[in-house]
Amino acid sequence: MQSNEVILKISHLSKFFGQNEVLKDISTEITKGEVVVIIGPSGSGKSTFLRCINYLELPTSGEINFKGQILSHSTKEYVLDVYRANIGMVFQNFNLFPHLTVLENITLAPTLVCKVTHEEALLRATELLKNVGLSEKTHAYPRDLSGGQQQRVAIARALAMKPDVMLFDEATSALDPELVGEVLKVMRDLAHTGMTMVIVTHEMDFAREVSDRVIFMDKGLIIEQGTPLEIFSAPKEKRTIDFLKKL
Amino acid sequence: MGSELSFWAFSQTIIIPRLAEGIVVTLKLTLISGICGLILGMILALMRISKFKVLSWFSLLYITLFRGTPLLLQILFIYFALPTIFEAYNINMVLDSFSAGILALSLNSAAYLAEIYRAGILSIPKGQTEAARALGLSRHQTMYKIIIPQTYRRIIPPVVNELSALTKETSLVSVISLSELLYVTQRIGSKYLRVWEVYIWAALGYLIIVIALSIFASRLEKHLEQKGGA
Repeated sequence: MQSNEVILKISHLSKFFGQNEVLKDISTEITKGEVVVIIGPSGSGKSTFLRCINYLELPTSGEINFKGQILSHSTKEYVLDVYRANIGMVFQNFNLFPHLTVLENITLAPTLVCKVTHEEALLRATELLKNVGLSEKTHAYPRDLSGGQQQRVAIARALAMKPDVMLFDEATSALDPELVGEVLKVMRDLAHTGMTMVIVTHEMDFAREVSDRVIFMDKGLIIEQGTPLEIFSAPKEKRTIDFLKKL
Repeated sequence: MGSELSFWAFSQTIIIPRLAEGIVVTLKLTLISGICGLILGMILALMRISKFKVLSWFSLLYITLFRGTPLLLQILFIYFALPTIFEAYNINMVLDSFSAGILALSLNSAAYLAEIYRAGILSIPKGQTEAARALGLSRHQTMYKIIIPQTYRRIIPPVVNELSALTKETSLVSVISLSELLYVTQRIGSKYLRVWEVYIWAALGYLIIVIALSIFASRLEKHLEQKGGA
């Protein structure tokens, strides 16, 4: 599914929290249709990296080239708002809007941000809900859904914006074990449609199966990256070997 | 005159007709300054959490000032001192006791309501803001479409608390001779030299307003709950 078109070119990204350097000069490129999985021990900076990609967290320095548009920490807020609308994000804790129905959760941003007509947003939402297998929950409120269902709605909500890239921040970590599968299935289906995805996860089997490239991070650095086969079967760096051994 | 009447006869002929007039003034004071306070309080709360430091500081100063001084003093200041300040600057403005009362009560309740709103806004989990911003919503859209609607149900109990306090505090305005509930009943009391009857009726008047308010609030809360609210 990969082409050679680079969607995100991330250059020398670094992030400080106070004196603490959480990301150290990270550079990488993400091409259209690529599925990148980021793994690493907790505190390695992988979630921060993901949150810096859509500027939810403002990087201290470095820049991102998004399809020719250069973004940095000095980019104006309204420009970043437009950029974020093109980057979908799925969170560990789902973060559905509890005061809105499932349908309203999905149609809100397209109508508000993209100025899509209500009918069109409705049509798209219905289609997306069908894809994630939740058509019968259209008018339910988030609190009436299981964690797995909520996360599937959250994925549909992000997809409703027709993003160029989807970011998954430990999307299955807060789920009961028996609910992980249904969310991974939706993510797997999405990967097969050619969506560009950057996934932070602890699900190694899933990473091995769907990813085109695995990035191993530790202490704010990219230690090693390669195909799943290279990383999981023949890791070169000592830290990667140690991490994978502990699983 | 009137002193030989029984409690019921005195109440019926003398107190109740005048009481209605006092209750109307008290209700007007409560409603108008309550609504002004609710609106001004929201503005102050938004200023307080604004990223513009000047707005935030102004709001903090305002809230500190109005919560840190007695309401009675604020009423007296607005009614007696403000006109002399206007005069000194040749501003032609007259404040009757009703407007002065409304002004003082509105400004005062706004300070308390601002803190209630602010607490409500801050109680919404950070993930809600992040999810909204990640979808491309601007800071404003996030606040008005996602955060504030979620605060409604949470803040109803403290807001009602504040509004019932306001209802009772309207009685302080009697010091500037505004014929609200307490003032009216006191006047009857001193005219007919019957004290306990008039205070009982005044107490009943406030009770009825406050109870009506809390019944309305719990209905509203249930209604919002059924609608799904957070």
